[in-house]
Amino acid sequence: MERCKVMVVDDQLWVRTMLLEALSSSGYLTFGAANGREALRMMHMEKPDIALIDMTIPGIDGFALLAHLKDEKPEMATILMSGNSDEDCIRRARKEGACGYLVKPFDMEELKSLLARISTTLDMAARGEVRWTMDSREGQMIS
Amino acid sequence: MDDGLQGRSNDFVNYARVYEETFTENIHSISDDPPIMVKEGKHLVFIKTAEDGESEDEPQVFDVTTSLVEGFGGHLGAIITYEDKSEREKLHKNVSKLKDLNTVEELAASAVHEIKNPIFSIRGFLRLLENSLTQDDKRREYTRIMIAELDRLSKLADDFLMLTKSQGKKGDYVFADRILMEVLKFFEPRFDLIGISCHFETGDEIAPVYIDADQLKQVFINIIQNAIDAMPAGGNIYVGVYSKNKDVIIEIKDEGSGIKKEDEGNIFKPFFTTKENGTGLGLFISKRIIRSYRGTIEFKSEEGHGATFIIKIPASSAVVE
Repeated sequence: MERCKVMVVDDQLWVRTMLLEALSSSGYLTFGAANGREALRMMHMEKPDIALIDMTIPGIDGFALLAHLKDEKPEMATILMSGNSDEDCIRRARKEGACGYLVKPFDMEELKSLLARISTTLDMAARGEVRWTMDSREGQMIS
Repeated sequence: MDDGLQGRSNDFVNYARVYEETFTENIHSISDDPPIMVKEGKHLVFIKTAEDGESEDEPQVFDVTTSLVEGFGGHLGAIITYEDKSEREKLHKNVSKLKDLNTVEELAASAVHEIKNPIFSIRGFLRLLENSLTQDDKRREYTRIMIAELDRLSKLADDFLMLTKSQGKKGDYVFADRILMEVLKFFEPRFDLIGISCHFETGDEIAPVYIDADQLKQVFINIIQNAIDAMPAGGNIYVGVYSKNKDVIIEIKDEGSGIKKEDEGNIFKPFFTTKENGTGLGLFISKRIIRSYRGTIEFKSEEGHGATFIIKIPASSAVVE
């Protein structure tokens, strides 16, 4: 993959700005969305490889957005993030096809190493070496 | 229910007035000589038994019903039923209190969420700032301290959230050894990093215990984290689970710095900490959790020779698959 494109979905302006800054300074192409509706609209225009989604966004929440993305762009990788480290939540994220779950506040190094592992897998999928859709990886997180 | 009746004194004049006000639908004569009239109806009556009216005693609540008995072409009498509803009323109030408690829990959860968002963005920007400094820049020490302090703040928010969770209320039949194994697995990378060997021993048949699995996990995390912090240069941690009499006993022993004599009475107190980045809530929360499920948590320690924490939880006789 040339340069991986990451969509950051978080309603908190400074959290979103910080994540976009940190990722673009690490060489990722980035763009942000403040809510689920905007994320779905932007996704069609920008065609990201990976979506980094906050669980508690206004309107449709993280899980609902994940379900929409699964329907519309199953080849995209998604990472959920939340301040909640509840086990049930993490299990559900895994079951619904997310390939990572990060508990805020996490370290940027943690996010970057997860993104690196995901983009390697996406590359392998592009070469046909692995099958990669949100359904095919159900139950297994990359992190 | 007419709240206006609540709190009225039990002197007879007032009581009669309550009766007049509430049973006015149908009036029947049940006897001509002496003339007795009965009003038919149904109402809740609150009777405050405390004389001063200021006491916190709950008023007694009665459901009063009058019905006529008719026969032989006339009224034979009236049945007046007083049904004591005090217990039901108390239960109803307790349920409302519990609902309020859940609201507090939810409120705390959203407050913690709101606190963690700015912590997260500040932390991230600090990292970016740090990356722009050269490796030998002394200001890196400032960013390191700021990040450590933010992490402490975030941990404090998490611990505070744990405190608001209703304890002892909900639970499940769980096996402490299985939960402990999960926790040890979670700590494995950290053990490797510091050079800690963890020795896990379990008895043949461990009885299940009734507890909230997540909260028990939190207790184990708190104690093992303390053990790790007490051994910065590595060492051994011994973990044992066994059933004895009617208890399940969990022992966690480390070879760390131990607990000072003068600190022994304080370690379970809130905000008491000997760690640079501690919140002082870990053991306090752990004790609260274990006690709320009728268990105990104790320790043995000698300064310089490690510490052993012993958790006892009543075994459950319930059958678990």
